[in-house]
Amino acid sequence: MTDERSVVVHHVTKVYGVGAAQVAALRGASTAVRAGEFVAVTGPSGCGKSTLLHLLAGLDTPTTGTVLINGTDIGRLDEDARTAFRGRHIGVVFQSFNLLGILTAEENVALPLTLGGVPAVTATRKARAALDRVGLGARAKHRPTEMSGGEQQRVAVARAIVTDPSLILADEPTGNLDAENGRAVFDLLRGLAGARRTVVLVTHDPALAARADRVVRLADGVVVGVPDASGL
Amino acid sequence: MGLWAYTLRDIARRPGRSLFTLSGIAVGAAAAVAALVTIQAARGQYRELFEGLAGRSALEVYAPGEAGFDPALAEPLARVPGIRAAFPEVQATGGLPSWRSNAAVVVRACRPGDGPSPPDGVVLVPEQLADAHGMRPGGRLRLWGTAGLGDYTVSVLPPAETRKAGSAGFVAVSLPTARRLFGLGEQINLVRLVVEDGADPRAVREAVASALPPGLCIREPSARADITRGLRAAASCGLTGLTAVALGAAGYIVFGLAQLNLLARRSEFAVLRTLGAPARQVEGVLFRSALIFGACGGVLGTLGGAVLSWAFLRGAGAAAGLALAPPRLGWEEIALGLGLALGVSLGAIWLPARRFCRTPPLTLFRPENQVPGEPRHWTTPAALGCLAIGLWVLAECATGRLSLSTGRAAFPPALALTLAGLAGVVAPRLPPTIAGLERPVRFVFGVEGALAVRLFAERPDGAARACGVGFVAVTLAVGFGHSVLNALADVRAWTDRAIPADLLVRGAPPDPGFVLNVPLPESLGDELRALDGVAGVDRIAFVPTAANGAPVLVLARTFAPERSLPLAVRADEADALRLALARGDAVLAEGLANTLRVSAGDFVSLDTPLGPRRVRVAGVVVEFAAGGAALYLDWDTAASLFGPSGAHIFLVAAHTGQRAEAESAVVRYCAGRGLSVQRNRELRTAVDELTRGLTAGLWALLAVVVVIAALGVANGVAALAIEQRDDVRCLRAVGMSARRVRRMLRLQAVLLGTAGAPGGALCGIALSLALDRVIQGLWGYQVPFQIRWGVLSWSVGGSILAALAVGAATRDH
Ligand SMILES: Nc1ncnc2c1ncn2[C@@H]1O[C@H](COP(=O)(O)OP(=O)(O)OP(=O)(O)O)[C@@H](O)[C@H]1O
Ligand SMILES: [Mg+2]
Repeated sequence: MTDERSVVVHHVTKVYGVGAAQVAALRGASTAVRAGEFVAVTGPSGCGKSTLLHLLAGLDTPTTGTVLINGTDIGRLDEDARTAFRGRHIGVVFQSFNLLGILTAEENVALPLTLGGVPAVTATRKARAALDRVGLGARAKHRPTEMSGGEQQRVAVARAIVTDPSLILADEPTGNLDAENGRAVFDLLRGLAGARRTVVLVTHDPALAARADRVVRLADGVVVGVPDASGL
Repeated sequence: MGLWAYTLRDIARRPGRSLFTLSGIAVGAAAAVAALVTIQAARGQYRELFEGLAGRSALEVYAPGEAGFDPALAEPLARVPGIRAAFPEVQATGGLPSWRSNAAVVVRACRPGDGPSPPDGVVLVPEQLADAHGMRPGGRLRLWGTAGLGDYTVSVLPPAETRKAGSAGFVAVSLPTARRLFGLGEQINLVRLVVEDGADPRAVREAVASALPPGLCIREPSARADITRGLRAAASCGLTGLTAVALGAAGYIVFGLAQLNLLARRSEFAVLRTLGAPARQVEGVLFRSALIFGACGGVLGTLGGAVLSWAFLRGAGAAAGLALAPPRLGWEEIALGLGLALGVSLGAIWLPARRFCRTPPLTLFRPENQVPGEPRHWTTPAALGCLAIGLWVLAECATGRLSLSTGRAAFPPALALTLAGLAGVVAPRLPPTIAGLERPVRFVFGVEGALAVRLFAERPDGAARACGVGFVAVTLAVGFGHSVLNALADVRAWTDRAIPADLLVRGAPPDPGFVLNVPLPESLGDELRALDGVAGVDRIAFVPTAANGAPVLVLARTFAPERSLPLAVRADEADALRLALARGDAVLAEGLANTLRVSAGDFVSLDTPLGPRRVRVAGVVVEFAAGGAALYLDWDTAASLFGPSGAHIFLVAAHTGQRAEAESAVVRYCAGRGLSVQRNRELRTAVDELTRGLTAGLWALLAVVVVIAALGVANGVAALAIEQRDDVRCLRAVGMSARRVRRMLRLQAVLLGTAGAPGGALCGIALSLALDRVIQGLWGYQVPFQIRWGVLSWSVGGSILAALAVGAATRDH
């Protein structure tokens, strides 16, 4: 069963700060995501969506509880091991694109491979393929500043898939885009799910959320409604 | 694209910041290389001349003060084991009057068969020297010596022969001619010993020394320039200290720029980390950029240092009327330049960034001022530690608890450590202080002022770094400005008091190393005194010897009883000193007294041709000749100890109101005889020029540091402005006009640039006082301290002007 589930979140809490200034962003959230599923996370502002996504990405560790990604307890790994794990298994897309201005689109996409020590020729070939996949093969030599927001976000998606990760995490990837571009990026991500590639996406847009395989609703740091579809 | 290409791309993307960083590193390295090259060139200056004359595998036997002795003493020396041959010779400095400018040349004479030995009355001149002075074979040539002006026939030594003789800086005459010219009778003044191949030089030297009669000594040929050791040591320590400070300042500025760079690259590094780059890899990017900056800065700095040293030596040579050997760039210098540049670069760019690289990516994604209490506790204790250690070592130097050699070696790093510590302690205190001034600033400048001040509370780290650069620049300028100007004033006062003559007459222009002095007959003094308008003539002879084993220059002089004592006495003890000198006591330069650890009432042992002689120390005076390794003896005392030596300078005093007559009479007298005359004001100009030439180099270096500091502040202001983009957008949105926003940013720039100035001025004065103390402890010079309002106002005003300029350049947002 375990290999079926790409993500398992079990009674996770996350507390920021100390003493009187403590904020509990997550208060015992539990959920699970099947491999190949396309899941939307929604909820009011400040309910802990981003926090949850950061824990899934291994960018942060839970205060209590466990987070399993492909069966690995990512919260138990040290910083370097988490970073390496993320580099191999997870692709991240941000709301604010976060492309590097000194690099061309192709170089931005190739960056995770370059950092992983992949030879330049291979990295460039794979980056081209990823850019073709998001429909930007013709813009490979352009800098991020020479592209529209929607195009930049598609480059960011290409960068997230170039290492062929099994899990893609996207925190409001459409938040900075107009409706049309937002839909395009959403469709792109939707198309990536399946074939054992899982996508978890945070969104405020109910219309987009409705088109996901499943919606996980967060409120005040806990998952509400049906906890999960796999009987956890 | 690999990490190298990535690093290079990043460097190219921020050309301004990269350029400042590169120049900071290059200036530090250039200072070090220039200092080393200059010191090496000065060291090699006389060595070549004398080693060339004697050959490298040679030793010389001589009498202290270059006095004459019996040639029969050379006979037994040839039989000492390890000695192949012993050649009795005469070597002395002669004055060569020339249409161009008088020159001092080494006059050399040996037995026929031992080396170049022309017939009596003929002078063999190396072709180079002959060309330089327009001499032709068969022409006439005059030479000044102890016995007067000799008239000879020129014979030119072809270049091949010159090479065989080792050096082009000499002329050769026959032994009888040399003996007549220098009043040596049947004596010689040097035995040149050739050491057998493969013999142990030290053992041979000891064997010869034990075979020598009392009053004769042995040395390596280059040791003849040992008297310049004090001068060289003082110069090299000054240069080393300055280098340390320049390196420290450069390091701090580069550090500040690197920190700003890190702030600007927070989100970039966060992205890299999110994409799976471990901390080690991000560190690798910074390590590579430090390597690139270090290597490029090292190459630029090494070349720049060589050019700087070349210009400096040329300037000093021109001021002193000498052709100094051109500086050479060897492996040692290249290694030093590259090593220091890499050290500064890695130490200021990579090391402090390692903690930053380990910061979790989520923290890096947030803007700096939103990071809750990112702790900085290590900075202040480390800075306090540096400051404490630096001050402690300086105090040990000043009080003389450290040995002189340890102290002199420890002084430059201690100075740099103190400055670094001071900057580290003071800079973080500046933003809170400014932030506390919100009310008065609001009162004067309105809301914009208040908003500008808020910056210091909001972004204390960035502000501290920008303020710190200004603080260091003002501290350095004020501190060194005071020390240099006060020392210069002391040198001028010494010139006035120690050389109270209207005119100076010599056989050739002065040699600042006191190695090549032309001896003139004492009787010239009487002839000069008989000239119109001349009131009196004193004479000085420079006699090189050793006191308590250390090389010293004896200044043998007459003290005219009717005039005040021409010594720069600190306390009111002139009359007592005059009596003591007449009795046969010595008066020591402060530097020498300090090196030998003696004071008034003690005895020193002087090497003389009669063997070692004890001389009482009557007192201590300011004296800069021979780098302070000098002592005064009365003329008659010196003559009784060293024998007659001729006079090297005649000090001519004019009757009051008759200076013009005296001047024209003396100039006419000297012109006919090929003597060189220096008017007092020319001497003062020469002294001024020499000191100015020396200090101009130091100032130029400081100026470059200050300019880079200003650029550093500008860069800091720009970086802070970029970080505030959101705030500015917000202010514009709530209706603040672009003009008022600009005014706010300008005020920020001015506050950042000037915040360090008052503290810098105070610390600069403290630095100067500390420097003076340490110099007194290590070199014996007691520099009278005086506040220099000019330096203060220029430094503080300069920082305000620079800040205004930076403010004016702050672009629209
Ligand atoms: N580093 C932090 N330090 C302190 N509190 C934090 C930190 N990060 C998040 N929080 C708090 O945790 C809670 C959850 O934040 P989170 O960013 O996960 O919300 P979100 O659901 O993503 O909201 P939004 O839809 O507005 O993006 C919030 O109350 C927030 O203030
Ligand atoms: Mg969020």
